Amino acid sequence: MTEQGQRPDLPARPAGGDAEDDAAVIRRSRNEPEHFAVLFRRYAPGVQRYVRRRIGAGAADDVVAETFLAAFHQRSRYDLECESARPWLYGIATNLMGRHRRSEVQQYRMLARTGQDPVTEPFTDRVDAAVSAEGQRGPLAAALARLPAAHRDTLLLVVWGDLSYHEAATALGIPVGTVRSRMNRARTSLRRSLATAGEPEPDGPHRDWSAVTRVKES
Amino acid sequence: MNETELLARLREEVPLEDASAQAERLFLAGLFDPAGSARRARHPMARWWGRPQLTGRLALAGGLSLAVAASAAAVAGLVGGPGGVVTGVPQPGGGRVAPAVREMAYRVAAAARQQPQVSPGQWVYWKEARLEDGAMRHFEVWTTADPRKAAFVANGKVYPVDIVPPGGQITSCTQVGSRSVCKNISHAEALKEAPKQYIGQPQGSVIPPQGGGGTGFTGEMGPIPVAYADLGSLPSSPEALDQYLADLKGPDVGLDPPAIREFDAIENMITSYVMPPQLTAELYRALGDIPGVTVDEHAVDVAGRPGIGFISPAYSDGSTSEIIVNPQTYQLTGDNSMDDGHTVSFGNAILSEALVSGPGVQP
Repeated sequence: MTEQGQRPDLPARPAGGDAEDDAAVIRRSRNEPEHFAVLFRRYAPGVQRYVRRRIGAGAADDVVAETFLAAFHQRSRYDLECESARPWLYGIATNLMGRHRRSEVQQYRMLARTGQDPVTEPFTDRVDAAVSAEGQRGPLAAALARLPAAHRDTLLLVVWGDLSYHEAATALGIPVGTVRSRMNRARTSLRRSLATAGEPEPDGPHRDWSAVTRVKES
Repeated sequence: MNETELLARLREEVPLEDASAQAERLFLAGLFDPAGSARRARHPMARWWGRPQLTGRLALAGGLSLAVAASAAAVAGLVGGPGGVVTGVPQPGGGRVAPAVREMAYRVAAAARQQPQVSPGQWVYWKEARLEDGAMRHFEVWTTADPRKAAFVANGKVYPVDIVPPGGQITSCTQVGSRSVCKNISHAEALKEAPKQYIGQPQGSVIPPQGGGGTGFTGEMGPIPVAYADLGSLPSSPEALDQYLADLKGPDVGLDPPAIREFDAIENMITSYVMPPQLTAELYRALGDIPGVTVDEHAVDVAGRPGIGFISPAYSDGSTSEIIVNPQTYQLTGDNSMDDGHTVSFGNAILSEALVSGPGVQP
């Protein structure tokens, strides 16, 4: 399932839905409200994964639904020059997750402290134990917990949301230069945390990720 | 492997998968979250149409007379449909809008919007089954989309019918108690009535010539809230359409709760006209916003086919109406009237429909 995937249980995609870029979908949804569901089909899986990774599955349902509803209600203000709505939607989701910031940080801390991750517990039957026990999760989580919220938002939009710097800037409504500076600081924090934890420096010779990957795929 | 690549692997096990059912339901429920519900509550509506089966009948005799006679015969006979059609029990009228109802209405609206544009004069072929007075009847009919013209089959012959003949004497009759009171009306007056007849998606049959008279036509007659010619002037935005439907006025104010009268209005238009797909979609969407409407996922039309039904809130006598759509395509397949919310006393099932080049032409 990709973000462009077709959900089997939603209404038949309106004619041209596949061919329309996001701006065209939004333009059309201004007169045909249900057409906005095309964007839900396109992006809800990705937004959901991004939100779940940050705040867990329990709260994600509400945030995902609210993200698309907020977008729906704001569609008249969408800049139709922007062909992709993805940064817009991820930005809304990021803002909505601000209400869950405390619990998000607490979960990072729990992971850093105990090695147990409440966010991934619902999915433990899908993951290989070797990955769950991976030692760098704690330092990474600790670093995420310590990051300023704005830096964390930027970092995770880029890394977990897979947005480009330019898209992250659009999502957050900040200049691209600010994204770059936040990313630099956030990455520095991660590196320090990893080093402080006694783990090999990133790019070090001892980490065999390929082996982990093989285990996952088996 | 740098720090961002390591971070990309953190919680990587969270899968990319379809949005959860709960998220989808919340989204769909809110998609058309109408201020409309509250608006309706603030604006008691005045509706002037009644239940289809309680409306009068139209008769054209010899192509020269228009006789309107009230008839309650269509609701007589408390019978079940084939196999004892039973549908779900609706909630009492005036209830809250259920998210599942709105979600289904949304799905049907999306499907309706995919239908082709049909010009007002386009001929449409219908093959229908009708349950009335305890009897099942099958008939074929051709109508124009607008529905100003029709053609019926009787004794193997196709009889074109102009809903308002251009000349001759036109008589309008109304049943008052046991008496039929008739009067001559002008062509202009008949034209005013014509767009409101249920000749559209066809509830009628031909009366073969008798005793030297001309061919007659009987058909369900009743006021449709919006004349076909006025469809184009309906508001295009959902909010404005909701407001329009909520503000329609009529003489029998208060006969039924607003939710029921609104359901009737939508049912009448959907089952009587071949409308622009955009408008059909908007009406289905509005259907999902009516408080007290329920969805029966195990509906059965009078032809015995399974479907999904939108059930009206209960009328004062406990009866309900149901609009039935195909469970796969979401296309309209028929409508039922049910006594006590259970037993189908009246209903239509669309067995076939197609655009054709003219009256009498088979698809």
